[in-house]
Amino acid sequence: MENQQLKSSQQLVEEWVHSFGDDLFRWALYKTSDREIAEDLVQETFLAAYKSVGSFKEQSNPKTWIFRILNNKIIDHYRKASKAVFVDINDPHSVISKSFNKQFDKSDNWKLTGYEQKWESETHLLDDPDFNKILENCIEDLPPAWKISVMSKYFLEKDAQEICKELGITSSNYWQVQHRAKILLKKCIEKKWFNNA
Amino acid sequence: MKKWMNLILLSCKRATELIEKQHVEPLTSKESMQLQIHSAMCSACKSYKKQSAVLDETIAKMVKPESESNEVLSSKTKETIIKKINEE
Repeated sequence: MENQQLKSSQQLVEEWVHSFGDDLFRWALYKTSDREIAEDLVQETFLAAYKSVGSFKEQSNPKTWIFRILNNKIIDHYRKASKAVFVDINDPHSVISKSFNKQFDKSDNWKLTGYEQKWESETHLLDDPDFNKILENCIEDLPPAWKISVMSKYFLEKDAQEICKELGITSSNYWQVQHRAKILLKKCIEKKWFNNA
Repeated sequence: MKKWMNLILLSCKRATELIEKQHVEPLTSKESMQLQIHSAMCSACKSYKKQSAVLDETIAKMVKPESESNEVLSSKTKETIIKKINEE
């Protein structure tokens, strides 16, 4: 009898893989913009669904139920990244801290590079596909957790306060990450864009 | 002298920090005044404010709407998931 029960929950989840797999994947891909991560999240979602299928009520909508599991996995993914980012921020010897601090002099003012005017003279960066490509590459070059944290605000489509609440961070944690990441992206763009322009 | 100036006028590091902070929470009136004075005197930080906005807008545009996607979960991954469920 128990065997019968076990088999049917396997079959049930198997059916879900076929009927909701693509939708879940698209959602995860949209929320993370990373195929590998999206596939992993969907896989974890189905395994978690299988483990807790006993708590799934037949009368509720399986798609809603399983999307809720996926959304929790997505938040978890961002939460883990933001933890890793704070390890970097609190460590003055981390690659990120060093490279961030290098942009400023001993009294914490800019080390001027001469790129300041170049930024000023560019007025159509937003519409320039080459600039978009370079920025994309610069984001790719960030350590994975940083990339994920920078993108979180665009992917989670929530305002900063809500994101902080979901990720369990303070708002000062949040803008510290934005600040450092943007300064690193700025430096990368100056190197790859203005240097060759 | 420079350190003393930073107390009143902020360092560039602190000023750019406040530029990011104000997207998230309101600055105190002291911070907001310090930032105003700093930005008036420091063209690099004034320029940073624009750069920061360009980065924000460009990244926001990169994120494609979900509806445009016709991606599917590879059949290989589907098989892997089903195999794992059957192994549990």
